Amino acid sequence: MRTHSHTPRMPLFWWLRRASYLRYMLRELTCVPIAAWIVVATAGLVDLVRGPAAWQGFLHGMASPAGFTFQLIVLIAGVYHAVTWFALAPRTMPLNLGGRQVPGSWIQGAHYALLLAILVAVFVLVEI
Amino acid sequence: MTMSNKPVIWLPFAAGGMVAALVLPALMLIVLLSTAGGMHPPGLEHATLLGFLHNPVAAAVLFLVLTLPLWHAAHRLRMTLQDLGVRTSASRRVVVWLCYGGAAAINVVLIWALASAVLVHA
Repeated sequence: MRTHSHTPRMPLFWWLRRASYLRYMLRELTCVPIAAWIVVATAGLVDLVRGPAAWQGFLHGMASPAGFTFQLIVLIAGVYHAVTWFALAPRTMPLNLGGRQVPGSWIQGAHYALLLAILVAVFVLVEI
Repeated sequence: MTMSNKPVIWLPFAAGGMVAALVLPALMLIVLLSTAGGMHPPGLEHATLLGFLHNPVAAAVLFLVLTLPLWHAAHRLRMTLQDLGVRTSASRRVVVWLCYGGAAAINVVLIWALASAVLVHA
């Protein structure tokens, strides 16, 4: 008997076929701008260590039209990741308290509350 | 019982996704406002920020805040590229090296920069 290993054939653009597939692909691809921002932030830390002039150069680069556009895309990707991550939280981290299932909306709400608290903490830290 | 390497990948993946969702939007927004937004918070002045990162605890926290989402992104991109058709074992191996190798290379630079901030006299 011959055996065949199954090799699924998928069209390259299968994720354009349904809105839900597209949302899934967009969600997964938020990792690209987010990773790019971490790379840029790392470059910024290198500039910080190199000295005040290099640091100013980094800040100016981020303020340029290209830097602004990049940061805007990154922020949208970051927020989209957060929204989709929190939306999945009730299923990835179901919580049982005293034998009763904690409602999903509470788990999501707790994540948004924490996001807001961290936002305030970061703003206080840099004294805005 | 066979040992699986899955938890080694999954734990930082989950932690990285959580940090990316909870902390990175705040950092992205603050940097955006402080550069293109024209705000000049004192915390992002060169001496202040370098002095802040001179504290090893602060540097370690920032390291985790950046490296965990980086690992998350590397793993997620690898999986997404498989969804997009990278299926042969040879091409999958290339993607593994590019994703995790790239993340590891950035990590080395990140550790160097933060260690310098901790060690260099501000």
